Amino acid sequence: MSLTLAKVEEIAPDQGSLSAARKLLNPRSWPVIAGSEAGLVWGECQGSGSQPYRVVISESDLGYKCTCPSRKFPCKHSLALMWMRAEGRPITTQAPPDWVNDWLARRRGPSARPPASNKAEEKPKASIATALEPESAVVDPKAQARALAQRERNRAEREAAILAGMEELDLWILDQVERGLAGFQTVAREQCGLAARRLVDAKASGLASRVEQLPVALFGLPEALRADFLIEKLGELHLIAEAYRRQAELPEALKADLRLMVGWTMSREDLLGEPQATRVRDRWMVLAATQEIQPDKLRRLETWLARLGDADGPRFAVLMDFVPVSIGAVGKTYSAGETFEAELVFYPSSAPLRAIIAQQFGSVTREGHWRAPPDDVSGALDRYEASLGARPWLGEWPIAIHNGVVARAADGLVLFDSNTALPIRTKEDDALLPLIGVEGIDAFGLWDGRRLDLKFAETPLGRWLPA
Amino acid sequence: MLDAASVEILTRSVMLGTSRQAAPVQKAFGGLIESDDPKATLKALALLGQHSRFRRSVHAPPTSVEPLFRDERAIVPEAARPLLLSLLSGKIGDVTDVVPLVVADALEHRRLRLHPFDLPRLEDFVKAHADQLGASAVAWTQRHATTATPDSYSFVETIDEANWTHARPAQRAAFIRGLRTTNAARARALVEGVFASEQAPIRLVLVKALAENLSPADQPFLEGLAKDRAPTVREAAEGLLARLPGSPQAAKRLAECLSRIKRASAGVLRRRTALELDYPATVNEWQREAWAISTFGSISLDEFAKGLELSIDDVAAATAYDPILSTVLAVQASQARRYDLLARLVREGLVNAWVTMVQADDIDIVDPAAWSAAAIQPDLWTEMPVAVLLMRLYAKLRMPLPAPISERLLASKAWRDLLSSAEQNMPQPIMFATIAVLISASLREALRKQLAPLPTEFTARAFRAMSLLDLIEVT
Repeated sequence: MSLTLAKVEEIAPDQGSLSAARKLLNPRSWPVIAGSEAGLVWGECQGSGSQPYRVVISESDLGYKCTCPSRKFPCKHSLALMWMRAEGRPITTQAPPDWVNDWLARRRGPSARPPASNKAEEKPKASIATALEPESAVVDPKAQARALAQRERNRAEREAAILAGMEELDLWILDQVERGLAGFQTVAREQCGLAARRLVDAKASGLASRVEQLPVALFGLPEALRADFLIEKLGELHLIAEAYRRQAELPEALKADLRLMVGWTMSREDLLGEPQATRVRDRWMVLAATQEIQPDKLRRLETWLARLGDADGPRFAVLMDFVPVSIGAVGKTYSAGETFEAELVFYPSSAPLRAIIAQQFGSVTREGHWRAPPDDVSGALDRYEASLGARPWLGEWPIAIHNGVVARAADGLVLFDSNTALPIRTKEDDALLPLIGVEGIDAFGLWDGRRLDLKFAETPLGRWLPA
Repeated sequence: MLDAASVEILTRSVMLGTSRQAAPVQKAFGGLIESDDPKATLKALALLGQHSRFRRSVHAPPTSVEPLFRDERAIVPEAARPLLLSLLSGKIGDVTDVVPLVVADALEHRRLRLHPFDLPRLEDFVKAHADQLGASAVAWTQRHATTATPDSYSFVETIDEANWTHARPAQRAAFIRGLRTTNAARARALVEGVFASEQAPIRLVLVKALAENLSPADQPFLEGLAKDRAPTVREAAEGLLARLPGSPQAAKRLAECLSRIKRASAGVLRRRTALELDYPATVNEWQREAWAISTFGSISLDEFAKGLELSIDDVAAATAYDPILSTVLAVQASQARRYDLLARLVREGLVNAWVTMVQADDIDIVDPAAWSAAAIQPDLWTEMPVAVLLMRLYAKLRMPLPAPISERLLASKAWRDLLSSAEQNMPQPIMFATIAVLISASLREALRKQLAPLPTEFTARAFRAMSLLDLIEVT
């Protein structure tokens, strides 16, 4: 079946979807677009998230798949790709990448389309002609001014609320310390839940999330480490509160960091337009892709990247996306070992790490080998402490060790470089055990100051990934 | 600024509670924090915490940098790894069909081991086939063993008479079976030498291993096992003795069998002898075949014919009227390696005799290639056997069908009918995967062409299995 514009109109769920798809017809929205001789067309479309969405359509049976979280089927990305195909735009022919083949292998015939609604006849017919009409640019200066003023008022209110919340937080921390942290474990969940709710009310959602996750981190530690952990984390909360009160005195990068962490957001457009933001164009390799459900019912998707080339700038980056849990399971957009060339823009920070993809060049491949910088354990900890000095409330931080070996110690596994040993966080799945004794590994993991969460290793036996 | 003693005092204070034990903030921080600062305690907590974060604790050096296991086998080719994972790991793989067994056999034959990093993802496969997959697989299955439950048998890569007693039970049995084909007496002597000191499960596998090349020379040892303390060992020895022509057990079994056979005359123009089994009242109709096979299948073909005072050919003709008795004859022919007779019986009506034989645990197929050529005649099948039976076929043969049989299978009407009606009848993917691993390697390309037009959901596993076997077999 050849795609026609009429078919695209027919398959669109509503006019809004077609209008949105029209805006995606610009080739610049598609850093990757290709097709096969079998009638498959696929592409990567840059959305509002940090990672482009992967879209594939099958011309023969109008099957489609997109990784965006839209609840409309087909989504605007799928419609845009169909639209371009229907218009006969030239598309490079090449062999489908793995993620397209995976979709094909899982298919059970033509894509499931939403069941025909009983009210289908009543639904206004979507029209490409309507979507192509230019949007009327209604500019009312007074309305704009009112909106601006309202935004300023909202901002001021939020600042005041957060400052008040910080004072309450300090009182809460003081209460715990006066009662004694030895007994905190028994009330940790209740107390942290209470403090988190207050911070949410104070519009400091980022900080609330940090407080709410504290008990989980606490009980994940061996008993012997919990006292120091509590001192560090509660002390850190006061540090953040005090820094927020004195943010005018802070360097801009640290101030931006602080505000982001407390809960202020920066839109993609604002970040792309930020002149002070660090931009790095290079080849990047995905070292880990993880998902975690936060207490606020958002699924946090983290993609950890390592820079493969010689460009200046951060050696590691993390892309973060947040998706409502209600949408259900989300497949990984990238998987460990994939490489691509891209320009990353880092959120302003005294220790830049979080970034978005400003532009991707070419397609994702599985070529390339990651080499850790020539750091032993001590060198890696030096770098960590430098970052900690720059950003005192540093959480988990990426570190890399060159030429190490995983070995058994009295209380678990360690990453050892013949001088110094770093404890490794062990999990129930035994995935680390085959790595024991394999010498000369380049290891990447997240260090939280106590234990290394090993995520990736290049070894003489090949690449190791956690199960 | 913050010395060890101050750290200790401050830590104790915050842990016990500053309302109970005030924190000496000014002294600890050298005047950096004023004692009348309303946030003094909080600042002290923050600085104490940051101090802790920059303190590098000295971790004890490792107790061991030895690998978890050593294995002298080569690792599977890199290209085979994703196929192994997709076929055999928990999420996508299906470990309930015969593909895992075939892959394990292929890896063992090529002396290949799994990549160590894939062991966690192939847990079920490794657990089920560790004895074939090498030292690393065995070590993986024992990785949580404590000193309280030692496994005293280790994996031995190359077994010989010097080390066979240290190997795992399945390896020891395979060694004895192999030695029995070349030097049966020596193999028996080795078994006799260790028998008394072994536990019952080991004694049982060693006795069963003596089934290979059984001869009257084994009789004294087997008769001595009548006093073994394990009932299973006594029963196994009894079963072997029943297969020895001339032994009292064999004679007894033959007599019982002959007593159960009724003779009659059949035919109008030419009178022929017809034989029929007479079943005990306690054997239900649906149990008859199994009872007959287990009771009389082990009787020597020659002794059976002699007891009936008929030639073997005449026995074959006479049993034609009783399908179960005919199947018993087929089993006896198989055990006696009279494959010509077996082939004849199959052609004359016992098309599915192989089904009975592959489902019986106590029937050994000594020469799988010759047996297959006789018993498996796909051109006579009216429809394809269900996948489970084909799986048992492989499990019995432990090798693919020889090329001529494979070719006949792919050309058979039964197979072609299944292919042509696949989209309508939607056979389980397990059928195609089973055929893919059952046929000879030289026929895989032909099978690929036959499966190509079918939907991927039927054939993906079959294609992956064939690709994997191709990779393993060329290594």
